[in-house]
This record gives sequence, structure tokens and C-alpha cells, in this order.
Amino acid sequence: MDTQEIFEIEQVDDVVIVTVCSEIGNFSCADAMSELDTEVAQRHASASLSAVLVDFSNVDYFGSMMLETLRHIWMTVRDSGGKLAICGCNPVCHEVFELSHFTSIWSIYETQEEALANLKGE
Amino acid sequence: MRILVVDDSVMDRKIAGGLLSNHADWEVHYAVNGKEALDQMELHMPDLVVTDLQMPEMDGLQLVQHIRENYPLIPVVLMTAQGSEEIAVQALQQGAASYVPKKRLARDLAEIAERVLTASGQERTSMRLMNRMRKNEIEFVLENDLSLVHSVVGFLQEAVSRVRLCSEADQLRLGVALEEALVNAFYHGNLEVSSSLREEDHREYYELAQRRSKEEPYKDRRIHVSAYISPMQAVYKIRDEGPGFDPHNLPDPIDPANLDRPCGRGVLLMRTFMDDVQFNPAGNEVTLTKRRVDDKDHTGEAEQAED
Repeated sequence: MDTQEIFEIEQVDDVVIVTVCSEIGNFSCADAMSELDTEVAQRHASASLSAVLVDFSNVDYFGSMMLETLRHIWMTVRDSGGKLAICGCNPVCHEVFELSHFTSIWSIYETQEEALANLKGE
Repeated sequence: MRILVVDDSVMDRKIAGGLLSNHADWEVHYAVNGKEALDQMELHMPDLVVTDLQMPEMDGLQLVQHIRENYPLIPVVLMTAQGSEEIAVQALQQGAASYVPKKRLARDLAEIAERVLTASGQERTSMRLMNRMRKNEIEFVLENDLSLVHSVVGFLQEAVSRVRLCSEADQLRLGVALEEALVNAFYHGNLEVSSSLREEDHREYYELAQRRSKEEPYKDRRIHVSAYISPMQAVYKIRDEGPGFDPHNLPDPIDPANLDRPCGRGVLLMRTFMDDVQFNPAGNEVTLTKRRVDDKDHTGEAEQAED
């Protein structure tokens, strides 16, 4: 599966919004996850990002590989004060973030609108 | 067959009911909104609900949501008017079986009702059959191929849904746990790619996996998947042909000091989402067990299918 089929990437000012477009099993999109990581790193290198927002509204569940990709993206932006935020989680996706304790370092919002309002207000 | 027609418009109720009453075996009942429909369903269970979308008290979308949650085997057909397309899409996403535009009721309603009733009857029979299944034993030997291992998770989730061992949310959790076990078998077991490499270089981790999947001895290794599924529990064994690992050596993934390291999250998810997780002494086989939990979420279907 191509990266474009799995992730839709747009940028609003200095916030990159990644919408996960399709089911993101651990296996079907290892390459896409790696490419997403690279894409965010390139955007951050050309103009420092204040945040990366990842929208999971279209996703039933995901596992450690997605967590790993997010962790890596977070490490890319955090060195210059950037943040990682999440939105659109169903209860199972939310549970995965809580179990892995990433909720202590990443903000979780209901919707993109709420997330963007908070990220821009900070 | 008992059909419940729900519409606040007297005229539309009469039109829909009249069209359906032409069928000799169909008995038509009426409700003026979603709330009244649910009250009637408490007393007499219909085989099919045909509903308008825009109604006072409880609209068609809310009715579909309620029926999906509480009477999942009862199909719902929507009657859509101009201007209700958006809410109709939502209702179909929520599980409505089909829809008929109101201007085409005369031509299409009876035919669609018949088709939906036939499909629902087949589903009900299939569920009755599954209620009588005692065990299902499944075994796969898979090449180390990403598309195959992804498919096997879907297949195993489907097998569990047939015996209604757990709720839909638990089936998703089961999917997470199985994927994690297969990820371990694929990357760390058969390809022997270490998480520590991912810590150093994320891209190199995947590139090494790709290279090794074409090299000896990694490329010939297989993943062995077996499942024993009964109405009381599902037991999965996932074995790779790598050298194995010691799960006790994994760093604690919930230690704050390890949040910025790739460590043990897959095993954590497995342990949390399954009732029991055991590794063999060699560390190349994991046994995951999910036991039946009786709760309201998924026993409703079984009760209906027993009828």
C-alpha cells in the first residue's frame, strides 16, 4: 500500500496534520510508516514544526509499530520544543495510548478542531 | 413475518404498510417514531424494521443505533426523502441493511424487504449453527510474508466473532494482541532484527528486515499459527523458527525512563488484551488465551439466534 493511501498529510502554519486514512495493521504498512517518519523529519528540517497532530478517526485499532513510529516522530520534533498530539481515537485506540503511558507526554483530543485550537493557543 | 413500519407521516406510513401488506406472509405493524418503535419491539419482536429518518422524539438514525446495539439480528431498511441523504449515509454506516428513496417505494420497497429478510434469515440460521459448534481447530504454516500474516489476523478475528466469544471491542483487542505476537515472530523471531536497531536508526531497522527476507537462513523460515476456538475460550499458539528470546529481559515499557525507547510495548499489549500469555522455554513460541466473558454487549445476538 502506498503512503498516500494510508496517510494524508497537510500543514497548517507550523503544524503538520497526519490523517490516518485506512486500517493500519502492523504489517500492511511498515514501509508507509517509515516514509511518514521521513516526510515529517524533512518538513521539520526545512521549517521547524511546533506540533504534529495525528488523527485516528478512521482507525479501528493499531499496535506497537504505529506507537513506535509516533515515538520516533515525537523525538524528531521535541528537540526544538515541538509537540505530538493525537485526536479521533475510539476507546480501543485510546486504551493503547494509555497502556503504553504515552498519554503522559502526548495530548489526546476528541477532534482535529479541538486539537488545533489548543495547540495554537499554547 | 412481522414487519414494523416507523414513520411520523400518516400518508407515508399507509403507503409503505399497504405495499408490504400485499405480501401474503407479511404482517405489518406501525409506530410513529423511534421511541414508540422500541416500545413495540419490547412487546413483539419484528423480523424487519422499515423506518423514516426524520421524525420527532427519536429519529431514524437514533433508532438504527439502538437496534444495532440491542437487537443486532433485526435488519433495518431506511426510507429516505430528499434532504436526508447525509443522515442516511450515517445510518448505513451504523448498520442499516438497505434504503429505499420514498419516491420509489412503490417500485422497490417490497423487493428490497424480501431480499433483506432472506439475507437476515440466512444469517440467523448461520448463527444458530454456530451456537452448536463445540470447537474449531485451525492451523497455518506461513512463509514470512507480510500480506499473509496480516490476513491471518482477520481470519482469526472472524473465527472468534462466529462463536461470539467476546464483544466487538474485545475482538479489536484480540486483533492487536495477535498482531503483536506475529510482529515478534516476523521481525524479531524469523528475521532476527533487534529493537535496539530501531532505537538507533528507524529506517535501517526496516531496511535490514527487507534485506534479510531475501537472504538465507531467514527467508526460508516459517511462522506456525494454530488456534483452538470453542464457545468458552480461544487458545492461539504462534511459533517462529528463529533462535527465540527471553521475555524477562525486556525493559519495562511503562517506566517513564523508557518512554523514549522502543521496548516491550508489543508484549505489554499482548498481556493486557489477552487473559493469559505464556512463552515456551526457548522463547520462540507464545501461547495466548482469550476466555469468554458474558456481558450484555454480545450475548443479545446469541439469545436472538436461539429463537
